[in-house]
Amino acid sequence: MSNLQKSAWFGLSVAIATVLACLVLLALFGPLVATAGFSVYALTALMPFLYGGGPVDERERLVSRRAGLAGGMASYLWLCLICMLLWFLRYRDADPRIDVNVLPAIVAGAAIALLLVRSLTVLILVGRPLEVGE
Amino acid sequence: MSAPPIGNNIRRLRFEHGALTQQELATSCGVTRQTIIALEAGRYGPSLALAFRIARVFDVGLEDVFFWTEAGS
Repeated sequence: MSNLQKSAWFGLSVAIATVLACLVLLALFGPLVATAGFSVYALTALMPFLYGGGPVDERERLVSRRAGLAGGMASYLWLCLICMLLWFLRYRDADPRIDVNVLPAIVAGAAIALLLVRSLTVLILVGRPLEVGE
Repeated sequence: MSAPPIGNNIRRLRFEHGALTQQELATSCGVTRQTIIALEAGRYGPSLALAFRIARVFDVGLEDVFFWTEAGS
């Protein structure tokens, strides 16, 4: 298994652990404390030290670039969907405002979507047919 | 995602050149062993630069290593 795959497994584990930590904190202490579960995400800072500085050849660069693109798209999609959802839920209210404490959760969700989809895409693409310039 | 329409003789050439291992070929070409595995399995269409590097390791022409597999293209 290459370092790129190992880092993808690590990223996937961190993303799932972050979601679980947030859900546990949400169940135990409520929505204000739940965002603190996002601190698990800081483990991603270890990835360059554990698995090297990045892709080492052209195939890994190709996989990494496509996975990054997929992660970015997932993150963007999350931001669009959550903003539209909040608007849809509140726009009929007499006082259509949202709690500012929702904002860190939206940003955390975008970061988790990025890591989750990027890691999954790496794991899928390493076993799939690829061609330079496709 | 379909397999790239580029076949290759890398596996045969490795054995014709003193049973060169995938790792040795990968090191000579500056890629990972996973990339050589993907090439041999027909799951990766390499860049022109990598194709030339592989051909140079075996000291043969590019078309002795890689060939087009899609009929009528």
